[in-house]
Amino acid sequence: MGEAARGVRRAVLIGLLALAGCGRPDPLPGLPRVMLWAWERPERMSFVDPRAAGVAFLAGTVEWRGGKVEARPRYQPLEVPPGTAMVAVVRLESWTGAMPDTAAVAAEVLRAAELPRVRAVQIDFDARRSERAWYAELLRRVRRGMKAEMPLTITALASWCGSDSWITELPVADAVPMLFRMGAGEPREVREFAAGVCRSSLGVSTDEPLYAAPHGRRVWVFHPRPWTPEAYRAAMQIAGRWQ
Amino acid sequence: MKYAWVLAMAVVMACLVGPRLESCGPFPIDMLFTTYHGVLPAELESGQVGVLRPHFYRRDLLLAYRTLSGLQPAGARAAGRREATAASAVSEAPRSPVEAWMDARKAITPVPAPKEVRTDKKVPGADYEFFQNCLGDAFVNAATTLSKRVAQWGAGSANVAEWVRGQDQVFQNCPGGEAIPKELTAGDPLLAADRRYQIAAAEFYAGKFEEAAGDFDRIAKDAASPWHEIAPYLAARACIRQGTFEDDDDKMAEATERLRGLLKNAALRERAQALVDFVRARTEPQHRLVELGKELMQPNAGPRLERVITDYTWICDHLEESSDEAPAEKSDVVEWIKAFQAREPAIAEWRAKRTMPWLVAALVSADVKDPAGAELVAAAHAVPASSPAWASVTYWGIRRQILAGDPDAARKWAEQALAAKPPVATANLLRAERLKVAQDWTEFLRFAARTPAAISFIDAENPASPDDVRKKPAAFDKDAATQLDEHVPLSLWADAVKNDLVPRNLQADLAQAGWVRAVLLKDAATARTMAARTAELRPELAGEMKTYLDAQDAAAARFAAVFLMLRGPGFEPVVRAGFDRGSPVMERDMLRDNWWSLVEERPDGDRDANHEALYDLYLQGEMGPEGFLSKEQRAAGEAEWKVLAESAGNSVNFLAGEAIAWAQAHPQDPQVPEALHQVVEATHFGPADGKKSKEYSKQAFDILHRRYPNSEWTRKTKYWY
Repeated sequence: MGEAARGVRRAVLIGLLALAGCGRPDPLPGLPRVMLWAWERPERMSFVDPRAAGVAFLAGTVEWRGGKVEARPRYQPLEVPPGTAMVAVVRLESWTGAMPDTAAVAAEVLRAAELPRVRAVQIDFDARRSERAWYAELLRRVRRGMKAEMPLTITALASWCGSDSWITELPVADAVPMLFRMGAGEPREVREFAAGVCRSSLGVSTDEPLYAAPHGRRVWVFHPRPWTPEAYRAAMQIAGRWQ
Repeated sequence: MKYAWVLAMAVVMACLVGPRLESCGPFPIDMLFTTYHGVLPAELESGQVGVLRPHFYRRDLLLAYRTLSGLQPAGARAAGRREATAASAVSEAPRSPVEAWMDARKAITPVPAPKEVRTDKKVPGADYEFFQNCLGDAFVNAATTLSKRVAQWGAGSANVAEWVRGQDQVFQNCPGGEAIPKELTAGDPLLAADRRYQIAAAEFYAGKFEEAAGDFDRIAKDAASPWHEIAPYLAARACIRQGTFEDDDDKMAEATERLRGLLKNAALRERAQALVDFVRARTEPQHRLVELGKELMQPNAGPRLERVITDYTWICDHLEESSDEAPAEKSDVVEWIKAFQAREPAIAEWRAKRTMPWLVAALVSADVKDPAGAELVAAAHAVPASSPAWASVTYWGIRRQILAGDPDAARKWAEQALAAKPPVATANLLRAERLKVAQDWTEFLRFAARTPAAISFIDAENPASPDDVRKKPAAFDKDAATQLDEHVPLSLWADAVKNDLVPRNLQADLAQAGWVRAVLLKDAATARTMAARTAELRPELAGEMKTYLDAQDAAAARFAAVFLMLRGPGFEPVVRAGFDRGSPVMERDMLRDNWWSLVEERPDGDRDANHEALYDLYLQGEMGPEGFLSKEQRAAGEAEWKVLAESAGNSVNFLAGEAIAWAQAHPQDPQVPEALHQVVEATHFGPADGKKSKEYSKQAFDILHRRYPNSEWTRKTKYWY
């Protein structure tokens, strides 16, 4: 292959990469570049600067055993300053047996979208390989049930964002690669994700250093304990490192 | 077929990575050498509490205090331990009270049943917080009452239909409301009485607490109502809900007053007392804490113990927000937990009380320079191995001796303790102590290895299963791994790989890493020894090692090693603490845990959670014993580490440099195209370090495409990185 041909191919590749993620528009427009995950514990986050950070709060948990669905809303208080951008997170837990009707689970997820001032919905589900088709169907159903202008996002195992293409076919605006608590073989060096849908966000934790990751992404920060002003400052520093 | 290899690779990687990660995400599975949060369930059940540590859950510390004080073990259930085992995961969800009600409701009446009954309602004034408005008892009671009314009136009767309509309205208030049934002024008196009860219940669930309390009071005065006995209790509950939501102390006081009046009623006493306790936990937390401390120490606390522990931990979790004055009376358990968690000096308490909990607290907190420590150590020595306090006082006593500068005594004590064959988590901690005072290489090897003790899953720590142990029967913790990697010379690695003091799976780890290390250090003789040992211990690598061992001369052997390392992203010159790399040596890791980088440093002050216990022994965070190597051995080991870091700190650049040099010197070598391809791959999937790696990537790419345009490896190398 000649130099010219290689140059053309490279240009095309760069263009495709830009379309795939590098230059893609923000899939969650209007959300701050830092989002703090507020999990199922009392969270009093009055110290958050709404211009700098939003809050992705666990709005509910849906779990099933043998196809039987049980849903729990958030039982813990959550205080945020007025004007804070809110993302409702729904955690899915699959225990055993047959997968439930996606309609039943979607209905529970959609309740979260109705909570006040929620700008986006995020689903947190570590789908096993055998559950992927079901999960894709669930996401399609949830997407159809949401207002068109409200983005749907998911958390993603880092492996999903590799060369495994299944995630690219999901009807989600954004997938947040979770670069923490990954057990053995964790990716200490992440420079880019193959899946374009994973190229707008990073999921990190205040208690696990991340040594290498792509810059310029929206950073979602988990804190293993209730948020405090000190933890908030630490989170903003961590997030700043990857901006 | 153009992208068949991509698909195949994706499948291979997915197969490798998927099962390992399927339970990861925010809630990981991790292998632990000891527990961080609490006592392992099996130990609680058997009356052992292991080595108590200040960051244990309060629940565990409460139960441990009880056990250390000589009371019967309470069991894991009382600790509220979530046992996230495979067994619990596969069990089917039990039938809920709501389902029982819906079944009864659907089966009996022709009145159309609601599609679902939801029990949670938004907390008044909150946007995102819900509470369980309708509890299970309400549905059980409804189902039972329906059954009785059907027996009395008949399933198809108008009375049952009316009763069900009223009850449906009651439960409409669980998530929303308000839906208050209409009073029945005519008809069956029992139906009318039921309706008055349904109205009061509906008001309660709708949040109309004043009205509900008033209506329940009226029902209480109606001796003919079947609900007159329970009604005062429900009126008190209405006061509590109102007091809770409106933060109204007067309402809480009124509720307490009402409930105390019910304590004489045998049928309601238990439930009334539970609510009194609930209210006082919120209105008088400090006083209630003292009471709970006493209740905790009741020898036959029985099922009530779980409630005591729940109330205690709830109060502690909320105490900082309370302005309640400290009580005049003190509770020993309250004081103990406070002191133990904060590592406050406790020797005075120990001297005054001479109890096991205070001995443990004093050993944890004692200043190592305080001569009184000898008194504590003597007391700890006197504790028999049969005592539930033995593991704690032994571990903390040995630690005290180490930090106080009495290593001989610490060695002796640790070996005596290990001879008692304590449970795995305790043994790991004792081995860490013994390693800390290792005097020579043999002692280092004797105590370096640990056994997986626990699996952490969500917020639970459960014992490691036989499968977990089979996967990694022995592992290094960070103390041994750090020393081996950065301070131990290769000559001793060569000893370790055949030393019976080292578990066989760790001999294999050392041989594999030692081969890489020897190659990088240009110690050909040791490299051959390590390669042979790797082949022996890891048959799956025997073929690969043979290619190295069969090389014709030193230069060819070195390239064979570089080529093999390029093909095997799992090769690295270090041993790891804990788990191995997840993927097989010769396969690329999807999460880019490929090859090595010796130049990364953790940020200052960053603690490694998986090896957290070692920070009790290595206060400055620098892991591993110092006295087991001679001065010369340590100097040799550190010099080797320096060479490794400087010459091959970044694996990508090292391997790329060597491979490209060989390619330029031996262009006819048929392995060169593949080696160059692997260099380019390594610059993408390995820990490339920017400019230098990019240069190597482009150089390898250019040589490949210029000199070997028809090679399959050239076709596979479409880009450089």
